[in-house]
Amino acid sequence: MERASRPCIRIGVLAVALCGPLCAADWPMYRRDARRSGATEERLAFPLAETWVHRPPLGPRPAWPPPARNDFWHEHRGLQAETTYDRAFHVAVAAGAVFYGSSADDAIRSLDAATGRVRWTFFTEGPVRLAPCVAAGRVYAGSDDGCAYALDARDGRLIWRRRIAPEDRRIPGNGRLISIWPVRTGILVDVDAGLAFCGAGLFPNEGVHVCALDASTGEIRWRRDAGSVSPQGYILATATHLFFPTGRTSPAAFARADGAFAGALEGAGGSFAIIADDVLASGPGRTTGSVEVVDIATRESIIAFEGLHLAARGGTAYILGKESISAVDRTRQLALARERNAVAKEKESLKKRLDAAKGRGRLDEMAALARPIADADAKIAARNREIAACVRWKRQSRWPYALILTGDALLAGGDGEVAALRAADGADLWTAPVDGRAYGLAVAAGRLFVSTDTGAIHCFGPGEDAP
Amino acid sequence: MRTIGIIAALLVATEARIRAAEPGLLDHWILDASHIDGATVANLAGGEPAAIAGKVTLHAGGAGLLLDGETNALRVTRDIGSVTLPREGVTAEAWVAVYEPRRWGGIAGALQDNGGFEKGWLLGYCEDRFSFALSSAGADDGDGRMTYLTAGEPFEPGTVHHVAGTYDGTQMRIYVDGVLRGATREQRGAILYPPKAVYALGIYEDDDESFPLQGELYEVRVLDGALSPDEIRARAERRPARIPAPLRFAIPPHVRHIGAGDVLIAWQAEEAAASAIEYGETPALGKRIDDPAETAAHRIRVAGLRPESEYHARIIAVEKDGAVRATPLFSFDAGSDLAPDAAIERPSLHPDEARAAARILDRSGIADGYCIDLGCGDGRLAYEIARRTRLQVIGIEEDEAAVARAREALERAGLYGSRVTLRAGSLATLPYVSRIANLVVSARAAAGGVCPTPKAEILRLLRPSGGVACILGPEGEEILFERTGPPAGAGEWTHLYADAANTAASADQVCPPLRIQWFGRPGPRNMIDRHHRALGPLAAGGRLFAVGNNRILGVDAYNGTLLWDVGIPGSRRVAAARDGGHVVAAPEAVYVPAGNACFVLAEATGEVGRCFHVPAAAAPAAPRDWGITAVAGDLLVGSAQKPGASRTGHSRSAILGGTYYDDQPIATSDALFAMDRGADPERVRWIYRREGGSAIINSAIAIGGGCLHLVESRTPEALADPDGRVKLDALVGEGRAMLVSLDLASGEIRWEREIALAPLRHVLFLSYARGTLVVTGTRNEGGHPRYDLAAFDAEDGKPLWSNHYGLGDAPVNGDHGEQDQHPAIVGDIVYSRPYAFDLRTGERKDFVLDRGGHGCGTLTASAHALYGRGGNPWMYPLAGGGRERIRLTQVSRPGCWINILPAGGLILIPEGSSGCTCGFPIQASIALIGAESGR
Repeated sequence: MERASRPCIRIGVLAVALCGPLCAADWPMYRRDARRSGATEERLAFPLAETWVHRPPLGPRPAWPPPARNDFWHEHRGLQAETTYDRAFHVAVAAGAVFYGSSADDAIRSLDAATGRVRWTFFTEGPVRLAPCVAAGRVYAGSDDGCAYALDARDGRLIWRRRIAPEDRRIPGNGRLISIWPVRTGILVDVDAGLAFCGAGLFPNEGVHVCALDASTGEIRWRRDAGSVSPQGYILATATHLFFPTGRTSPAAFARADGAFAGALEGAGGSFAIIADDVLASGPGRTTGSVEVVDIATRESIIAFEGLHLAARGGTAYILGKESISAVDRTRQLALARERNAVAKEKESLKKRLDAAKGRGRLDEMAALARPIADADAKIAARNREIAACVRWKRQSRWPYALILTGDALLAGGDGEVAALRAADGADLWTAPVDGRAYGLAVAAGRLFVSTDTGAIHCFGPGEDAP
Repeated sequence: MRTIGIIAALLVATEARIRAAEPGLLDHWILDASHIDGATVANLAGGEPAAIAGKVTLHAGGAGLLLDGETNALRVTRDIGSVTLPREGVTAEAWVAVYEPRRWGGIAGALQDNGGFEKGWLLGYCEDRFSFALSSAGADDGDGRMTYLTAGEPFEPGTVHHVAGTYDGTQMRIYVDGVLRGATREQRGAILYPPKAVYALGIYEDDDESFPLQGELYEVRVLDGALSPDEIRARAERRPARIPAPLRFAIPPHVRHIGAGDVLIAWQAEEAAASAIEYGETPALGKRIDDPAETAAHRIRVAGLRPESEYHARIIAVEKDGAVRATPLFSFDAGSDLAPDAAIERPSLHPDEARAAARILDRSGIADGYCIDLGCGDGRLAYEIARRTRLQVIGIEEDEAAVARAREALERAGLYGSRVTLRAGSLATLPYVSRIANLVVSARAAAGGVCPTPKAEILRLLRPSGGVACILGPEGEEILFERTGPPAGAGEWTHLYADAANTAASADQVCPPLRIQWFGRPGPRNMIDRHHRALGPLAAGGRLFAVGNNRILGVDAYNGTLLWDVGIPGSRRVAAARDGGHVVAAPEAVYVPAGNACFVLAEATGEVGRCFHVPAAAAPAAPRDWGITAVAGDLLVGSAQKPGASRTGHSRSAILGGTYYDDQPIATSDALFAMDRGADPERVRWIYRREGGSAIINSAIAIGGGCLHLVESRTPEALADPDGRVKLDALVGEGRAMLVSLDLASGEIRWEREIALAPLRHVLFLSYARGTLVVTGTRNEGGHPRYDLAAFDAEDGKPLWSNHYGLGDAPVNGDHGEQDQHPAIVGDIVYSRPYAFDLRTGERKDFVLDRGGHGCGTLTASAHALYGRGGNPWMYPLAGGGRERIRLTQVSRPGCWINILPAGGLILIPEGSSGCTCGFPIQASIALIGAESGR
C-alpha cells in the first residue's frame, strides 16, 4: 500500500543537456556530469608526470568534524565520515582553465590548466564548499553566504549574484559567520533550459529552499520549500528529476520542472551519490561503509554492499572499498538482486499468511505454507550466491578516497598517493605521490588534477616516458 | 653491573628456595630480565620453563615482559601429559596489565573449548573483565562443561593488577587486587583435562582459537589447591618491588589540546623527579619525550600527532633514589574541534594599527570568539587584532571597491580567510544575529573618523556576560561598552540536574518562537557514545561546558566558539541515572573529578590550576575515589566512594551492564565532605562519615535551604558490598531507608529519619525545592514500570505526601529509560514524566506529557517549558498541559540523558548523539534563542 501512494519517478533521457554540449576535453563540474559519473572517454597516456602543484595559503576547512569512532551498541567499529563533500578543493576544468572554491578564504579561483598560475580570484562572503560548475563561459558557484554566483570564466567578473535566502540573516555556523541558509548543494546548470539549480538552508525549522534560477540573469524561476529535507552535497539530475544529497541521510528527489518534492530515496546515507541508467547509488552510509543502489523510479533499494564510492560504465560497476577495489557485472547483479527482492517480498507475504494461520490455529494452512516459504528461502539463497559471483575482479587497494574512470583506466585517490589501474583487470598502471589525502580527481585535456585535504591541487600531464 | 648481576642471581636462588618450599606450588615464572635467558623463562618451582614466541621485549627497565598481542605468547608445553598440573583444586595467579580488552584473552592455563567439548582451565579475561574458566568432573555433561567466571568489575586497561582464580573442588573464585570479585559453585570434583592441550601463558589457545594478550606480564604462579581469601589478599598486598610503583600526583596528568595533532601534557607529581612521556598509537607506545628537570610540575608539548588517531601514553618518573615510577596507560584522541587557524603566527605590519590593537585588547581582555570591525577600511586593524589573538575578525565597509583592495592586501599577507574576512554592506544595521560578538571595534574611528554604527546596534551585537565594544579615537580616547551580566531572565545549569538541589530546572525565561543562534562544533568524535547515557553538559557564565570522553570542552554559549579542550583521563562517567553528578560549573571554575582528585579548571581558559583530593579522614581504612561533586557558595562538596563505584566503561558491555534495563546497581559513597573552594592548601570544613558505615546513594544527595540532604542505607548487605555499587533491593530492602539532613556550613546532623518508601528497584533520586524534599524511585508492577514519589518537609523530615503511577504503555526491563526518569521541579510543580504533581500536596495536575517520537533520556526544564528527546529534540511548553510540543530541530538528535539546557537565554544542545547511526542529517552542536532576543 505504501508503494501505491508514492509518486513514481519517470526516467527520461539522461540529462546530457546539463551544462551544454560537453567538450570531451572538459570536466566542467564535480565528477564531470550531472549524473556525477566520474567517467570520461578520454585516455591518459601513462605514466604521467607532475607538471605543477597549486598550494593555496589555507587548506580546506570542512564544515563537519569526523564522526564517532564506534557505535558501541550496534557494534559498528570504525564509523565512516558521511558528509565529506568539502574535504578537498574539488575542481572543474574547462577551456584550459581550472576552477575551484575555497572553504577557507571564501574565494572562487581560476588557474591556468597548463601552468597552475592563478588567473583570477573572486571573493564571496562565506565559505565556498563545493566545486563550481562551468557552462557557456560562465562559472557558477554557491556560497555559505546564502548566495549563488555567476562569474565570467575568462576574468572572474561578477555577472550576477542571487541571494537564495529569504533574508540576509547571518549566524555563527560551522565556525564562521554565514547565512542561516547556506548554499551547500553547488549549482547545477542546464544550458538548454537556461536554468541553474541549487538548494539553500540546512534547518527545516528555518525554511529550506530548492530553486531554479535563470542561468543568464539569476532571476528565480521557481523556488520551493524543501520541507524536512536538509540539502548538502552535489545535486544530481535526470531528465525529469533533481536529486539532492542530504548529508548523513539519503538523497531526496524533486521535479526538475517545478521543484515539487518527489520523495526521499532509500539508502544508508552519505553525501556521495551517482546515477547510472535507472539507478542511483549513494554512500558511504552511517556505519562502516556501504553503498546502496536504489531504483530511481520506485525509490526502493535494490541492493546494498560494502563500499565507499563507485564508478560505472556500461555493464560494469567499480566499487571502491576501504581496502579493496572490485569490478562487478552490474547488469547481472542488479537483475539478480531484483529477482531476489521480488522473491523476498513474496516470502514476506507468505510469512504474514503463516502468522495469520498460526493465530487461527490452522495447521493445514501452516503446513501448506511451509513449502513455498522454504522454496523462497532457497531461491533467495541461490540469488545471493549468484550475486556474489558477479564480481569480475577484486584487488587490494590503499586508495579509499576517490575513484573515477578515464578511458580504459581507473584512477583512485589514497593517502599521499594517486594510482591508475587497468579497468579490465585492476592491474597496476601508475602511481604518483601527492600532498595529503586525494579526495578529488578530475581529468581534462590530457591532464589529471588531484585535490587533497591539504588544499593542494596537483596537475599531472604526459610524462617523458609516455607512449 | 657485575654486582647487580650477582645480586640478581642470589635473588633468583633465594626465590627458588622459597618457592620450592611453598606447599602446592607447581609453577612459578617471573618474567623479568633476571629470569629470562634468551627466549626461555626459568620455572622457579622447578617445573618446566616457558618458551617465549616472537620477539622478546622487556618492559619497565626489565621488570616485565611486553606482549604485542599478535606474535608473542609463552608456551610451557604442547603436551599437558608431560607436566604436573593441578588436579583436585587450583590457584592461578598473575601480576599483569592488559592493554586492550578483547572478547577472549588468556593469562595462564591449558584448555580446549571447541563447541561442546570444554575441558581444562584458564585464568584470562573476557572483554574488560578478568575471568577464570574451569571444567570439572562433577559438572561434566559428557564432553566437559566449562564455567567462565568473570569479575564483577572491569579492569583498568594498562594498570598492573594482581589477578587470581581459585578452585577448591566445590567453588570457583576470582580475585582482582586481592578483592573477591566473583564466585560460583557450578563446578565440583576433580578438574577435567582434555587429552591434549597447550599449557600456555599470555594467550588463550586451543585447537580452534588463538587470542594473544597485549600487555605486560610480570609474574605467574600455579598451585595445586586453592589458596584462601586471606592468602590471596596477602599475596596481592605484597606487590613485588620490581613492578613500577604507581606515581602519586598533586595534579594528575591531563592533556590540553592546542590544535589537531598538537597537545600539551601537564602534571604535578608529589615528588620532584626527572620525568618523561612515553606515547604511541598502540599500547606498545614507542615514542618518548624526556623532561630532565627535577621538578614536581611538568609540561611537555607533543606535536605532530596524527589528528585522526587515538594515542596511548604514560608518565615515567625517575626519582632521586633511582626508583622508577609509572602511571597506568591513559589514552587521548589527538583530534580536536578547535579552530585550525587559531594559532597562525604573522608579523606585525602596521605600527599605528598595532598600537591600537594592543590597546583594545589590553582594555577589553578579549582574545577568543568573534570581533566585528565597523568601518574596517583597508583591514589593517583587523589584521593586527587577528595576529595577536585567536579572534575571528570580520571587517565591514560600505565601499565594495575598498573592500576588494583590502582583501587583496590581506590575501597577500596570508591572513585572509577564516581569521580575517571583509564584507561590503551597510554599517547602520548589520545582518548578524544578536549577541554573537565578543569584541566590536572600529578602524574608521581609530583613524579619526566617526564610528559608523549606532550604539544600539553595537549593543545588540555584543554577547552577554562579557562582550566588549572598544571604540578608540585618533588621540587615544576611547568609548567602552560592555555587557557584563547575563541577559534578563537567563538561567544557569551548573550541576547535572541544573543545580545542587537537583531540580533539573534552570528558571530560564527563554520562550518560543525560537531561531537558530549557532551550530557546529563540538562534534561527535570526542563525546561519549550516546547509548551510555553519560553525565550531561553544563552551562554557566555565558559558557557551555561539554562533558566529553575523558575530556571537557569550553564553548562560548552565544556564538559556539570552542574556547578550550582539555583531556582528563579517568573523568568519564556513564549510566547517569545510577549515579550522581560529578562535574560542576561554578563561578570562575569547572570542577572535574577523576580518581581521588577533583581538577579545578578556569572557566574562561580551561587552565588546570589545582586539584582537590579526597580527604584522608574521609577514607581512613582504604583508598577512595572522588564520587559526586556539588558547589554551594564557597563550599566544594564531594563524596568518597569505593574505586569502581561509578561506571566508566565505554563499550557495549558497559551499556548492557549498567545503562539499560531494570534492577541495575546504584553507585554509593561512604562519606561526604565539604572543603573551602578558595583555600590553598586544601581545608576540610567537615566530613560526614557514619560510625558503623553507611551507603550514601549518589543519586540522592541534594543541597538546598542551607542544608545537605541525603538518602543512605545502613543494611548489612549494603555495607558489605565490596565496590560501592549496590542494588536497590539491598539498599532500601522493602522500602526502609534513612533520610538525613546536615547543616551545610558545619556538617552536623540536623535530623535523620527512617523513611518508608516503596520497595524501589531501579532508580532513586532526591530533589529539593521550596523547603520540600522529593524522593522519586521506580520498580515494576503489573508488567510495567511504576513511579513512586514521596515528599518530606526539609525542616524536620516529616512525610508530606506520597503518590505513584504506572507507565502503562512501557515495558519492564526497558532499554529506553522507561524506568529511569528524573523529575524536574518548576515552581510548585513536580514534573515526573508524563505527569505533574503539586510540590506541597502531591495532587496530580491536569498535565500529561505527550513526548512525541521515540527516544530515551530524561527531562530538563526552564521557567516555561520542559525539554526532552523524542527522536529529535523537543520543547513542551508548560502552559500546554503537556499536549503542546515544539520540535526544536528536525535534523538532529540529542543525547540519551540530559542534553538540552535552557540557560543564558538560550537552548543549548551540545552534540550528544555520538555513536548514533540512526538516520538524521546533521550531527552537531546547536543553540537556539527566542526570536525576540535573537533578531
